[in-house]
Amino acid sequence: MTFIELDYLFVFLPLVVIGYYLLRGTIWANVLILAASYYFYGATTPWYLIPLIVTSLIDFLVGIRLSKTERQGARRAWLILSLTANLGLLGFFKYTPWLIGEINSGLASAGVGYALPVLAVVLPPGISFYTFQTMSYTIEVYRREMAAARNLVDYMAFVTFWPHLVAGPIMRARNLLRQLETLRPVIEPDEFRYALALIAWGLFKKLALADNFGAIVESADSVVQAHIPVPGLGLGLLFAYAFAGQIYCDFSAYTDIARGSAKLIGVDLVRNFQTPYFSTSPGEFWRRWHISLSSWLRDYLYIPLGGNRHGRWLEYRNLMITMTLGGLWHGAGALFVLWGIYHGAMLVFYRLVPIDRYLTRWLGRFGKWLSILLTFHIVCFGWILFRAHTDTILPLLRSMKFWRSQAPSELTYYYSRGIAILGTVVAITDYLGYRRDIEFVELFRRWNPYLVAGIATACYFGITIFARREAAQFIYFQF
Amino acid sequence: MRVQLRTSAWFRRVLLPILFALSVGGAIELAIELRFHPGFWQRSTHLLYDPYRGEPFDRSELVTRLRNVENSEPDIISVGDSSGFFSLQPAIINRYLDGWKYVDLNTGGTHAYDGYYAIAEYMLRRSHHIKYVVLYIFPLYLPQPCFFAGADLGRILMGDLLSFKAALLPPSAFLSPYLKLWLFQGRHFHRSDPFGGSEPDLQLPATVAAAQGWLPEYDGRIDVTGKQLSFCSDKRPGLLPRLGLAEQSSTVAYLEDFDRMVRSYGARLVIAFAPLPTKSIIPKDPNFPAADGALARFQRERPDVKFLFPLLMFWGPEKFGYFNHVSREYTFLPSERLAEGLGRLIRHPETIPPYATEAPDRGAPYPRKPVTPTGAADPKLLDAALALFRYATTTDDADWQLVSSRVQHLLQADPAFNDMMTDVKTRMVSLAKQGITIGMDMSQLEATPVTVSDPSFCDTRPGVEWVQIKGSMIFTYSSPTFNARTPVSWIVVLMPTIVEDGVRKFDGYCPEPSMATAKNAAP
Repeated sequence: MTFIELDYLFVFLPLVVIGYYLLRGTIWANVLILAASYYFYGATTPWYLIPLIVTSLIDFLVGIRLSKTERQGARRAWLILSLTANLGLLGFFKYTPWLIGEINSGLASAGVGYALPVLAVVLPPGISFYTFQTMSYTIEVYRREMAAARNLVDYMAFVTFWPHLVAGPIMRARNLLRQLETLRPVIEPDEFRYALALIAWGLFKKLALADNFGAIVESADSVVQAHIPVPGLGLGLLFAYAFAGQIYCDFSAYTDIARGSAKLIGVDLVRNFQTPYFSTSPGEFWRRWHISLSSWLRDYLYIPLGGNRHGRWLEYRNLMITMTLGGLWHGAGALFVLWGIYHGAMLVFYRLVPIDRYLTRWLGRFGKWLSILLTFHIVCFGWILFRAHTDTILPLLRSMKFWRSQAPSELTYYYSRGIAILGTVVAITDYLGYRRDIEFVELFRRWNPYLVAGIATACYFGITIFARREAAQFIYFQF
Repeated sequence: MRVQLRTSAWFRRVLLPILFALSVGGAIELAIELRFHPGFWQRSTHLLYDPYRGEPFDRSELVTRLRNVENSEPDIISVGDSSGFFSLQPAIINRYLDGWKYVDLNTGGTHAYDGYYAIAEYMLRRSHHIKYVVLYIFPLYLPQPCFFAGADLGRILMGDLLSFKAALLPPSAFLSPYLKLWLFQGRHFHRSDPFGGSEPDLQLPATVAAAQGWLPEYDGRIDVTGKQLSFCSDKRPGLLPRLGLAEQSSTVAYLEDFDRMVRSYGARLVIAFAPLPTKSIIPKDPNFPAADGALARFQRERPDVKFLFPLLMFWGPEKFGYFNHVSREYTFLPSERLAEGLGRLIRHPETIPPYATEAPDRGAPYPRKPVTPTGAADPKLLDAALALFRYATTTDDADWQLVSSRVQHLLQADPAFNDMMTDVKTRMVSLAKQGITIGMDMSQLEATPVTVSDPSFCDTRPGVEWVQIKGSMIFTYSSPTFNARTPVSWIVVLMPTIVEDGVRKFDGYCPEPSMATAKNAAP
């Protein structure tokens, strides 16, 4: 089940919310959350539940053992067991088929007449998210930053909590588990209205904006794959702009709907985005983009590696390692790794040459906007690595040039027009949030309820008129 | 007091804004409804109207056909794959049905099988006249998992035609193509515009009302000899079937479901298998017994369901453009075959024998025809080799003169062929009235004389000479508003010709013994 299905919006969510309020003051509330989450996740493919339950049980038991053991050696062994189990599961489903494929193609190109048996496994959706989440739990218990969960139902509800299970935000146990362990107070009317507005805005962003950006991306991709020469504004550049819009609207829409769904039952999920395309440097971009993953990588990888505490060169090394593994987390593929390396290199470069500071110092306000434009294009170039396939990456990069363009073709005119229209909606709404240093959706809390109701109505018409006839799957489901 | 305050806050800060949003939205929807009265197909999400890609023909053809025939009150409809879409001509079939009306709603493999179900139920909901739903399918495309794998449109069509969502689509959805095209492309959308720019996209709307759903085959062509096909596994996927707790045969499960639905509307299910090229089934196909057995079991459990033909009926390979497509000059044959079967069903249903297990034609396939060129490419060979094909499209008498006297005699003796040609002539007149010309540009085709050893060919006279055709056939369409040239790849086509009175003529047609048997069997 996904957030954009009518079954979810008009059957599942209302039933769970009503059931939850009926059971709110009892221990059955989390049983309901757990059952609902399992149904949400496993209704179409029940076997997806197996790795989810296995990883949850292992980390729950490891948490218990950690809380009962004082010996450091034993505690470390339990932690290693948890990390091995989680990373092993992730490796098996996500990276083994890719590695086998790479090894086999290497053997074939070397003329070796042997191939490893191909592993035909389907990647369970959200496995990267929930393994990171359960790992954060055992690490926090190991570091004694939180007490181990004692109630299996509460713990399982934390891991499987449906709004964030498939694509985040990646919640820390000490935040979400604590919320689920307590009997929550009655939600206030303003918060309930805000939750509904989040869902409406998320649906609009996904169905009317992200999917239409996606239509341009798919079309441009097919043109590149067919090797059709398209004169005019660089096709690769349009592809990058369109994908920048698609992935931002798609992923932030998922987060909005997730946060709105959770808030309907009084649970707060962390923010995942804050106007990322208004960043003045790659470092700022990563503080505004997929915040729950960036902070996870910072807390559990970058800082344990030494962070910036051991001199400049080790800091750069740690940045490169963190971003490379961050790239690999997104997907098993050389281009994801390259995307991570690229962002690591950009972070290091900006540490060496803080262009944003120079530009702001020299040109003031204009320099700041120039930094934003530059950072946006640095990110867009990265999106090409992220979205392209190994066989289309070079044609796409080649087609980025536009200074020698001939008369623009009809196709690039349509692409440009679409990107301009959709991009204007994103830019205006994000700017409204950016100037107040918040997300646009936070304004729904501040604005008059009738204005928000009007925006929700506009979202509805935006969806009925501009949604593609078959909605595309959320991009981050594949991770 | 405290409860009252809380209730009041919920009312003021949640319920009233929601009511406000619903009122505004409802008022706008009502205004659109009253102003434009958008119908089901205007609100439907089945057509994509995607500004960045054309409308896929698999989607647009269905909308064009359903919109044209959904209110025509048929007595019999057929649904199924493209073996029926291109080969079942209602204009021929209806001449055999004593006033009953048949329309062809076969689509393609991408709609299997949920799509066939959806089309049938959509029509049954709209028309209480329908007495029989014919599931007309190619024998190798039974409702089995491997066939579902590529049928991405089936479930989509089910949702678009039958689901709750389909019923609830708001009037504002009708504005979608107008606003999308205006905003993203800067052009105006007109409802009468064709959905695509290819020849079949343009021809179908112009002919669909008269043709009652049928469209001439316009596909590519391959040499269907020398290759064989196999049946799929009939094992139904899923845990319950695997544990023996639900029906294990995919075919039986699907057909039972389909039959149940058809019966619930007071109609009857009829199953008809399309013919297939001789020797096109692999010998001792391990999946054949399961498929055949499943059909036999289904017949035992549902004796009221009529099977008009045996599962396998082989016809000469020269009649097929693809394995499952009878080429356009021979559509009178499957039409006649179905017409005979339906006529028998209407008049004497008790004479139709129940489905019985059978054995496929055993043995190796015909060997791939060894082709040896004997001369240079010659455009005149093309005219002779494609004479019947062209005549069936254009009714040009010059093409008929390039058909051998043997073939002319055989065809003229077949009333269905004459019906087909009458229909072609009527269609040409109708198109001419609309200022439309359809045709073929053969400039990209090359015809070479070759020697071929073909044991399947019926004319064993020594004067038979073969022609090999390769290249692209360009189907053309021209009207006062639109022109199209749609090239289709013809990979290898081998046609027998014969020289008569010093002129090389088409000689490729062989009569089908099974057709004579069917006619004799008809009471």
